[in-house]
Amino acid sequence: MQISPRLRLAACAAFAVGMGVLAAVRVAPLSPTLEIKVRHVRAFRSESQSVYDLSIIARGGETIDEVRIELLRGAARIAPPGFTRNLAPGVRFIARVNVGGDTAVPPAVRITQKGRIDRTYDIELVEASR
Amino acid sequence: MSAVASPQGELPSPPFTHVLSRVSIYLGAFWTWAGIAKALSPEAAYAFTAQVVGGGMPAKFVIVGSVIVETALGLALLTRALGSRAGIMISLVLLSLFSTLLIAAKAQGGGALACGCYAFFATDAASVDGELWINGIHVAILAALLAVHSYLGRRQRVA
Repeated sequence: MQISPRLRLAACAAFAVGMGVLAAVRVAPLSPTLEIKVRHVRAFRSESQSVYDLSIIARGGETIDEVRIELLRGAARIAPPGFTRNLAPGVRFIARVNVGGDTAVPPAVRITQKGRIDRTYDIELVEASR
Repeated sequence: MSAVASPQGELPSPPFTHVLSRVSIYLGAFWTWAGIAKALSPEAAYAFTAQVVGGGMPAKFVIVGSVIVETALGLALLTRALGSRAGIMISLVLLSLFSTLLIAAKAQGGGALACGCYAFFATDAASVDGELWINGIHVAILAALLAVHSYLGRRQRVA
């Protein structure tokens, strides 16, 4: 059976629009986010303190105006400056947190992302399992 | 109509028509893959597009638009709903347009970015620089084919 080119073209266009709808659904939730990893710096570990590095990478193709780190709980101190501005996508910002000894509840920090989309991330200073 | 002839205005030179037909099938697979892969896995393409045209709605419109155009063109070439010559010309225009976006990204210092053009297997592998080479080679081959097509057509009209 011969199907006319016009009908084939219409079928192709209909399928393509369907793919466009699928792309729209999948792309809708995408926005700038921070990829955060916690690393326990064992070289600096002592009985009285532990050191953690927070590795923060901007994802989603947009520059994030400001990333700020604040202490949420625990006996910890964020090494200055504790913030960065204009974090370009794919660029890594590393912040260091000194924690005073072992605590029953792991200390936590709040990382705030400011820009087109504002977000906050509450991060416990526990090394992610590898 | 011969097995390899296309619906619209093809050159009646069998060996060359055969070449155009094979090239249009290749382009059909190329665009269909690019469109469907981006629809299923748009993350890398979104990150790249956001850097070129700005994040949010502009980037999302570009992604959705390119998925529709690429898939429609690819399927139209595969099902022969579109003639080989027309398909090659549209492919040439699209490749030039996408190359302009890639050059804009490269000019902004994003030459090593993953462009996400073909999603999945190429999210990290196909950087802007690599993709510019791929596009450049395609554009050169397609432009040469169209030039030969035009030359043969003119010669045949004279004869």
